[in-house]
Amino acid sequence: MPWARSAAAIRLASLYLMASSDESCIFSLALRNFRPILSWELTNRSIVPTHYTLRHTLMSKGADLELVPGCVNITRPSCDLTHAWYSLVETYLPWVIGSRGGATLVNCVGKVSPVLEMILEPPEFEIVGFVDHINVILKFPPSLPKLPPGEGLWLRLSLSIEEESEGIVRQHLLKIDERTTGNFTYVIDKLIPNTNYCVSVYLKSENLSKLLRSPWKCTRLPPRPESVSSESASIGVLTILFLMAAVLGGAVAVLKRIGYICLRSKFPKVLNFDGVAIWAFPKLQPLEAVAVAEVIHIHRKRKVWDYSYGDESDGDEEAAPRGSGGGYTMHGLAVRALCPESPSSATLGGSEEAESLMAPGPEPWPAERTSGAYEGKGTWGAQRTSGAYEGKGTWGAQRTSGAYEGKGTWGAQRTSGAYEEEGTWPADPFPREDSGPSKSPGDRIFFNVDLNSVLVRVPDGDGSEAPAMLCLPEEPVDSDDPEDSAAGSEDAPFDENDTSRSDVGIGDGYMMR
Amino acid sequence: MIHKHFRESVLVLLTSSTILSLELKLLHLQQRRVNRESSKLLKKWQPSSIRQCLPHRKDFLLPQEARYPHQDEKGYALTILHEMLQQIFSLFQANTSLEGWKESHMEKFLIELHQQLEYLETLMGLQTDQKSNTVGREKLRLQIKMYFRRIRDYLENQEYSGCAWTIVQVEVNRCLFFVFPLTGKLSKQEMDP
Repeated sequence: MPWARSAAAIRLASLYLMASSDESCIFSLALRNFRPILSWELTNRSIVPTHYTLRHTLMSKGADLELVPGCVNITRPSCDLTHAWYSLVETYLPWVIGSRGGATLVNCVGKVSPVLEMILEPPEFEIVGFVDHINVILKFPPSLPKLPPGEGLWLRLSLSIEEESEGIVRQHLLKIDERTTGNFTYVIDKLIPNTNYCVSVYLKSENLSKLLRSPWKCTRLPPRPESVSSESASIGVLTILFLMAAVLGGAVAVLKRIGYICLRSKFPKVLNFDGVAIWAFPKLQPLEAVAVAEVIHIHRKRKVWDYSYGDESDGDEEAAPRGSGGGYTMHGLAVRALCPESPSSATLGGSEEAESLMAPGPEPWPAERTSGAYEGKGTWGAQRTSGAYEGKGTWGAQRTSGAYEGKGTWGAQRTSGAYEEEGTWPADPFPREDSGPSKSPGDRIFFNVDLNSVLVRVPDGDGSEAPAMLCLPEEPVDSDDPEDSAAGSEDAPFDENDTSRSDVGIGDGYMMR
Repeated sequence: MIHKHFRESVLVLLTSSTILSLELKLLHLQQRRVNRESSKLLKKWQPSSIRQCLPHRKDFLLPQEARYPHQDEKGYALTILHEMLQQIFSLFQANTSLEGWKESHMEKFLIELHQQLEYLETLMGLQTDQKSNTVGREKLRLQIKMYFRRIRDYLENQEYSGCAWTIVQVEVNRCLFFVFPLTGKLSKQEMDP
């Protein structure tokens, strides 16, 4: 009875399978590329069906088991349930029947809750490292399953990208929705060049789904190229050069401002003598060889001011006619040669007495002379009234009524024809009118006169008029000196006539009025 | 008179808004804990095979309003949450001595439920009394009450069998995960003054 024995064996096997079917299969649900994939594994590995058929139903409803489209009589132990399972909160009941040659070897039922048990598999990705950033290329499915709105196991998911370097992990979260399809590139920036970085991705759900982290993919970022560093260096050099130029320009401007450099050579217009008539400044006349004029030195006691305010002593010191400390001395006497029979010498009366000490003055004076008087312009403004000469300028000798008073270098002047320049008188800058103008400017003589030691006498034929003499009342006069007495007598008429004699003073050797 | 209490009123509103925003965030986190404990409880308890319970499955007709509230008002969400958790708490509290459930797991589940109910009651107390839509919220409460009435009747009819409790545990999980998005929305919204 072999047929009866086979039937009994098959029945026992069916009972065995039915009794143990609920525990013979281990179901697992994974979300792969946004598609729920149910796979199963038999606990008894000795039983290997060749074909599988999958049915399913819901726990919350009393509906019958339904076949899953595309999972009927399949050879693989897995099934895509995208269009069958699309609610996260439901509890699904899968039923798998495994067979071989028409014989059912496996019949197992399970209970799967996607929200609690679904494994979120990470998407495939690649990383490309650059100097300071990494491109993470995520590979999503080209399109999402078309389901009613609000349905789908991939809803309310987020993608987490983690980068790790030297123990520091940084997380980047991306929200996933129906627009997240195709290849997607995410850039992780602000990274350090020449550093190792590892990247891992995984899906997260706000529910209690199990997450699965992808394997770490590492790369070492290349170092920063020299062009970048050189570029920054060139920028730094340019900046430094610009600053230096600015500082230098500012320093030059300051120096120019204070006049340390680039001094102005532009003088005021009044000091511009270009084009001024040369005649205003006649040439100096060459010196002529002349004989030394007779000089009558008047030796008198003279108070020498030694600038010591302690003891005033009327020493017997005589002011040297030249080179004395306090007096005014002659310098560079240059006079005309004296003619023995010249009328000038006669007029001088023997000319044993010095007429004057003349020295070249500091500057030439104009040759213009009228009526024996001198009126000049320029450096000194000689002016005379009533026969007196009043001059301004560098000297202040002044004389009236035949006396000489003038300013400037000298102002020798005579009136009433007391002075004849030809021959006897070295160089009278103020000859009489009848004598005419001097032949040449060379007749002018500059000299400095020490009035303390010079007696000027104007030779005059008429003895009625006392010769004008310089009067120096302040000076102590030695009575024993005959010359002094003569000078004193000569000074007397002067004293009487000149009311302004008191005004006469000797400051630095000049007589002033 | 109005100005006299104006400052106090403003301070109360500001304080309540701050507390409410914190409470809403805590509500979402706490709901996650409740759902986790409920799931652990379900895993620990397998009274019978699934195959044997297939004929005992029942659709308890969860109200659509609870799944998809047609209004996004905070009052509706809080009402749904509060009523549902309150019903679940009372359902399991009455049957803690069920065979197969470890006492520690059940106690932990009830503790998390209780904490969540306190958060909800605090939030509902801070919320200004909205006289509008009161009927709608009451209607929604009634629907939820009816829903759990059906569950209790099922258990009674099934004589509180293992399959019945398995089916009820699965249904409770379903409810908790249905309302979980509501807490997420609440935590993202600000309290209306």
